[in-house]
Amino acid sequence: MLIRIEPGSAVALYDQIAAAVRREAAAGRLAAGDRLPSARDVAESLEVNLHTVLKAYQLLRDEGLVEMRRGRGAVATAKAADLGALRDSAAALARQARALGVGADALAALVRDVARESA
Amino acid sequence: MGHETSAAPRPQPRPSAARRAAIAGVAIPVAVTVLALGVEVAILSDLPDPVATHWSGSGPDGFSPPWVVPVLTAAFAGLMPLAMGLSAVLTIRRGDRGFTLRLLPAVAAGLSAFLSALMVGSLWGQRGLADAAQAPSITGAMLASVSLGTLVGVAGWLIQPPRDAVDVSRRPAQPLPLETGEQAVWVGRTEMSAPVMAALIASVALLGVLAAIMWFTADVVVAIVTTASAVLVAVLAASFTSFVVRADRAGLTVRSSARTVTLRVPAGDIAQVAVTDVSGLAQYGGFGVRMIPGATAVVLRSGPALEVTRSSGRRLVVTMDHAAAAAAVLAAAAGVEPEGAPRADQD
Repeated sequence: MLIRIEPGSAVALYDQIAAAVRREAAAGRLAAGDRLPSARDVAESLEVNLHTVLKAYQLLRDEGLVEMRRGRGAVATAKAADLGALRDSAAALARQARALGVGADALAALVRDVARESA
Repeated sequence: MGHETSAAPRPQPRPSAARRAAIAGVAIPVAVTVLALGVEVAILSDLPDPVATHWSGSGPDGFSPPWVVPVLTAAFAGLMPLAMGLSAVLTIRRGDRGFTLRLLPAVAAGLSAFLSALMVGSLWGQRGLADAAQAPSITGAMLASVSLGTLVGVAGWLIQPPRDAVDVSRRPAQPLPLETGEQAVWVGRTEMSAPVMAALIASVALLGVLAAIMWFTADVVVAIVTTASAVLVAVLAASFTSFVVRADRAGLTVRSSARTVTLRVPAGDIAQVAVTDVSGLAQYGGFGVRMIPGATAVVLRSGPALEVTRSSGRRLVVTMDHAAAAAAVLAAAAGVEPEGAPRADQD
């Protein structure tokens, strides 16, 4: 699993790690039933505190993307596939925006506004 | 067996290679074992009960019921070489070629002939004896079966065509583009494929059954050795079925999930990173942690693999899914120049 973080960013590290896992699921590289790497391995690789990674995994569990299983660690749920479908919708939206001449940043801003309004 | 003088090495599968490997690795073991079993069964009523099955120095010192010998013949002279031969033939049929793939069927043929002759020979001298303690020395049968096995093995090698070069595709990795201040790691697992795992479990089960048989029939030393190897294979199987792969700023770390083995290449020692296709049998002679001249490989299945070349030229190869993503992270960590930059590529 590819995890990219920006340690200098204002976004909390655990949020960044959780976002990286969501991105993998959305890209279809994390299927339902797949085991996430152990929090300890991720922490050692990223050179961050173990609890930071555990907190990220907890966030993902709270939103139902992973579940904790005894002996197997964090396992992706069926929601991982749903996130993949969401990416397909986003791709369709991006194609539509490109056809209309709407740039990536403008589209992202539009999507953010809509998401906040409907929340 | 005429020498073919092919103009250029072609990686294309030649049907004759698979057919001749099947003659050496499948037909010969089957024919030899059936013949041996026929002789053993035919003389079974002339044999003392128990028969001598183990010798030390001049005389016999281990005894078993007569039926044990045909069973051992079927297992060791028949099934075991047959499994070796079949695995090679199936791989050759997929288009792979290599030294090991020519050697395996030849060894299967030789081993089958050697063991068949030895088992038959050990019984032959005991025909008509009232007590197996009077069994003659095994030395003659041993020498004859070693010679026969060697002859059959060499013949099995010679009837197969010279190997073609295995065409290994190697795609150099592009470093993952990173923003300033951004950090990327790849952490994941690579696991043994189901067929390889099934073969491992089958061999552990076979060894376990053999160990159990040995406790009842053979002497204690043989039983202990068989049991120990069953346990050893089981432990190896358990520790080599799953590996954790980490690609980060520190470099590449490959560790068995049981934490029994760790292989590491520091980022500073990485000269090249690539994605390649591995054929376990053709390139590394099997599965597990393999060492061949110039490379160490963690081969859990055939297919895509991450390949890291150290500055010394030695390679570490790991079969895994998403090898390209891990390779891109490593290429970035090692500061490998992107494609197009001048780089001395050889062979």
